[in-house]
Amino acid sequence: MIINSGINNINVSAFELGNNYSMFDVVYYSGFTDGGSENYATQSQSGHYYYTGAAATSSASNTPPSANSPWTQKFFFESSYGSSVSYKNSSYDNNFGDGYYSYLSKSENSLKAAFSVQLSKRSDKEAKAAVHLLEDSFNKGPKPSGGYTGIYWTPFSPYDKEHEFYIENIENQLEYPNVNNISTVFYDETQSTTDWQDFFIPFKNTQGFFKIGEDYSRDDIVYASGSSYTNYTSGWYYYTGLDTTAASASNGPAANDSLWVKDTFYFDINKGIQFKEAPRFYKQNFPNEFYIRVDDGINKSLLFLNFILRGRSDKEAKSILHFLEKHRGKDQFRFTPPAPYNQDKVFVCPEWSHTLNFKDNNDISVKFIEQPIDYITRQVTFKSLITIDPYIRER
Amino acid sequence: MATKFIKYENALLKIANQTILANQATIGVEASLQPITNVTGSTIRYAPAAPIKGTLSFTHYCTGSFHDFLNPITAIEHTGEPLNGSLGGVQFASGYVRSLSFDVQPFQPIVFQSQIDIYGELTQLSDDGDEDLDRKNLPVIPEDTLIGHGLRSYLAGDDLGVNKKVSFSYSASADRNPVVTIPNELPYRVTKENVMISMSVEGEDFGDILKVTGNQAGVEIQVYDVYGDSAITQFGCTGQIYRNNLSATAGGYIQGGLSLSQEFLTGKAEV
Repeated sequence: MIINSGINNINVSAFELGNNYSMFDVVYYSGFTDGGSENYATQSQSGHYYYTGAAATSSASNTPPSANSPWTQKFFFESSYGSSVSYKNSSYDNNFGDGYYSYLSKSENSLKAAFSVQLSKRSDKEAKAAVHLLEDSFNKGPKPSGGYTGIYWTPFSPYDKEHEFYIENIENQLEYPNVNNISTVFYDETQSTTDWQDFFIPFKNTQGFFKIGEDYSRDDIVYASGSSYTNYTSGWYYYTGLDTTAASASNGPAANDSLWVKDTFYFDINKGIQFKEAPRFYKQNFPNEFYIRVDDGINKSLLFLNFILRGRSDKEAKSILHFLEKHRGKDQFRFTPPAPYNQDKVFVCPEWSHTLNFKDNNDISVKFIEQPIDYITRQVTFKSLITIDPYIRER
Repeated sequence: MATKFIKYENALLKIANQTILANQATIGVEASLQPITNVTGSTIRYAPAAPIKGTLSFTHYCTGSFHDFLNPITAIEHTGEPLNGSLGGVQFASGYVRSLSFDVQPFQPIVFQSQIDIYGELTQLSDDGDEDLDRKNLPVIPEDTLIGHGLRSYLAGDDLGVNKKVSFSYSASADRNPVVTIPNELPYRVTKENVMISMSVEGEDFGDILKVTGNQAGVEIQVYDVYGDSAITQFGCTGQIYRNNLSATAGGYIQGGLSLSQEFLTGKAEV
């Protein structure tokens, strides 16, 4: 029994000096004994640690909490292909009749992403470390206040920015001796769409600010703003040109007939897309199963599309996902469905999911819902009064 | 890669820095591609669906100590693997042994057949490997080379119920499954699963009557060369006899046969 080792189903040993440790070793650290002298860890230093480096003998200079230590408490396991990320915007749906409706997000962090992580065919040792770390995440926190802290993890590209995640369950299938399949879902409900730079795809994974003279190629992502742009026209742009082109004022996002798009979903659609229409109508039920069908106003057959963008390169997938993130699950964008439905229409995408099949092979499934009124170009006036914090003003 | 005509005698096969006296070898890889088409039927691109994977298959004589890295049941993961090597100047860096088999026939040298899964791109050695000293020094089979032979190799074990063995064969194979993590193209681990040892024995009888649960048996093949006093290597199989058969042909004699199989555990990692 190890004091203060928390509530885990997996037993681990205490850290000791002079032991050989290798990748995926797990220890409980509460200090160490060095030549008869006791070195106690502080409360914040105590806890379980996971070895991430090359095999080495432990010494006073490479204890778990020491600087540049090979030990970590973060989730450092590499995800397998087949892992996926699902987005969903939580909103109040207001239906006004005649097919008019609006989505009102429940909060400014209503767009949530869930990372389904697969650790496929891992060795017993790696599986033990991974399951222990995931289990132990329920034990951490500022006790005794009640809440617990999450797991710090930098997800796979293009979401590779560290966040604090929480999990709710762990699955571990012992497939074969020394072959284990672990899966869990990471949640982070604190990301806000009010952050113009980052959501789950970080700013560093885009081409950044649009620059004259820079070479841009298809699916590049830039942020354009400045004196050439209005409140409406400034924002994120996606390059649709097939050839790499040097940016100039005449071919930038603000130019006429630019190859940059802001609110147009321009990505190719795969064959196999299905259109299922269920036009709206009233059905009066009379005795003897006699029905009278009555017209239900206008906008009766708005399109509701579920389809998958298959086999996309990492770059195109990032561009698609960034486009969807920046439309926040509730903002309109233009999309022209394939013939014979090929009219320029406006849609919102409240849900989508990204599966990483292999390197440069991504599937993105989307749910597009048509809206009857195009208010993309409608000028939005920001009327909220912003005051300066009095404390800051006085300084 | 330039077209080249290298004579068999100069096509050096090396695995894990060991020269293999192969009488046949084939190496090849393939990319797993998935055509992606848009709604108009045009191909957008070809998406990779798995790592570049291939196979090196070869047959060779056992001319000295048997190379353990060629045995699927002894080459435990992470010890010696991935194997590197080359054939005729074409080099691979990530090889994982998948199967080994051989027949022991009367008065015949024993030819081992091996298959190695290869991941990743093949590369070309400079000068097609001309500068490799092992190639320059490789003689044609020298007269005094010892080769594992059916003349003296034998099958030990009395569970079979076959006293006069005419011939026997051995096969060990495993499923090798790559574990590729995001965003890599090559596996960081190739698991070894479903390791099976199979043997078949032919002789004057087919042994004990087969029961519904099979018949338990443990045997060991001792591979000898023609002149040596000690075995070059051994291969064991402790499992269940699951098949008996008896055959007779005009001009021949009644011959019995049995098949033996063992599900083999290569060892569990220490945790």
